[in-house]
Amino acid sequence: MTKGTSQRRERAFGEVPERADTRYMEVYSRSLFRATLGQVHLSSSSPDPDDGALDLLVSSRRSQIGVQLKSSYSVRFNSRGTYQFAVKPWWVERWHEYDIPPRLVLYSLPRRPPEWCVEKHEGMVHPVIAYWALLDRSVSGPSVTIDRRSRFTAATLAHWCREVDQGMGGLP
Amino acid sequence: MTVTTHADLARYLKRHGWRHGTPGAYGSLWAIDDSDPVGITHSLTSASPDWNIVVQKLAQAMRRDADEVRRDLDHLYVDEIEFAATGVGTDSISVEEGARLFEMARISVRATATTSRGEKPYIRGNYSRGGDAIVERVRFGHTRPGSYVVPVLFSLDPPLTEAARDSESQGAQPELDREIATAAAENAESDQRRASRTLVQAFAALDVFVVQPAKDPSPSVVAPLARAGVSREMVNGIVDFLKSTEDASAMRARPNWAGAPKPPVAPAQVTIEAEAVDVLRKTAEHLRIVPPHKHETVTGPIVGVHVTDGRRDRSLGVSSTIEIQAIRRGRLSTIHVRTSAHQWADVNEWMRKGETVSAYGVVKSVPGRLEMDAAEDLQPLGQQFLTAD
Repeated sequence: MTKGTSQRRERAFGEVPERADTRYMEVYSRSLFRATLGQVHLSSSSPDPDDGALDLLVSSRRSQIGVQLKSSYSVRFNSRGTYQFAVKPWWVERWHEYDIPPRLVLYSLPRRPPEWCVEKHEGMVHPVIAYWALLDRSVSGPSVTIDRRSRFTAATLAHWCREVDQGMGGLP
Repeated sequence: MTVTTHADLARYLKRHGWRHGTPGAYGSLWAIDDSDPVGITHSLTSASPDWNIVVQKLAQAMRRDADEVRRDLDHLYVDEIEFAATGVGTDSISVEEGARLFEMARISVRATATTSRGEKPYIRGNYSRGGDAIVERVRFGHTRPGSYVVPVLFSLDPPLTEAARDSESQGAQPELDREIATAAAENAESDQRRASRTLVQAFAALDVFVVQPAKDPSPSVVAPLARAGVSREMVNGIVDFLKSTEDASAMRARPNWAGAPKPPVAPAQVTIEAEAVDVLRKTAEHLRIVPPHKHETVTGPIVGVHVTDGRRDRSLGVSSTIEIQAIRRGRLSTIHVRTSAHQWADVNEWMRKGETVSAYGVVKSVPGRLEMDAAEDLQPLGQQFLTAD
């Protein structure tokens, strides 16, 4: 069969695509992050001005925690259990300016969108793993080290809030 | 717009009764009354990504509108005097009235910028260069919905002080109360604050001496009006606006003083109804007369107090020399005015409150300073007005 003679079938609107689009990976992972916030009754807001180094601010009891959300379908850990995630140098500069170090949350998604969410008998299953890293002064470009043991879950949020609120000092 | 720094914010909060706890690694907790503590990080500024969230939390704790608090913090060094046409129902105003409202604001600003530097009941084109220099930096802000409002913005320079004064006062006065010295120094004004204060006090004087009595004014109103910075030009501007009104029932001037410096003693707002047109017209006529005087009036805040009778029991009153910061012959000056023991309680109170005072008498120039030995009339402008609560 010669190439070019077969016609690619037009995807109908609303059908799950075969290949991932980074925009939609972003939308999907942001929704998963929000879902986790909702589960622990935390709220978030957009940074203002929106400079790109932070995607959102999570409200702890006494302050705000900056979060940079990322997603990838090609997360591969080395023998030491780490993965180097590339970041822009000006993000790193910006992260260093904040008193409270922001966090990077990386969603590792399956490559194919149909696999992002699977309907099973017991309910929806999202075979997605989220990792997180602290973006403090020890982080320098061009990448951030992701540790496979550093999983982001609902419990992580409580840990963040506790740590940040402790850093705000004593009651007036 | 300039960035509001952490230091600016801390100063503002302290002035408004907030207190903070021991600092942590990231920041401190601040609370007012029994509010939920608000966290403020060490490097928070108006350029930080969470600034708006913090402002909202602060506003909530202070039970104020978040936009107002944000404006306060953006305007720590900006005096805003709002001119409004009240009684206008919708978001719009007729072209004629709107134009005259802006014109009244413009003339009032220019006239009081000149009179803030020396009384001039009838300016007659002789606007002072110093006054016009101030006007060049005054700006109209954007109008806001609600009665038709025109905000006039004065960006304040740091206050003017005479450097020599500090060293002189430290050495020569062993009895000098340090606390009094600091409190007095806080009253020093920048040129722009002097102008914005005069603008408001001039409106207040018209209200008290002309509008409220609601009868034909006698020529004796000229003296107190002129002392407060009123001029014929300003009154004519108000008359032109009031007689053009169809929708508006009154004009209102309302100051929102900059958050950082100590606010002057002045009314919270002044409203002049349309019916006042006739008495104001007659006032403008009186302001045409400018009698020559050997005596002068110096008007301004008290920026220094020297107790000359240190050994006396203060409860009996002590005589002192106060320093009034005033513009005299186009230049910033400090005039040393003697006060007697029975005036001590008043003097102390005026200085602590930051009252604008005026002294009427003969100013003598002696080596190194200007003196007024026997002030025939020393009184605060605030005494004549209803002041802000």
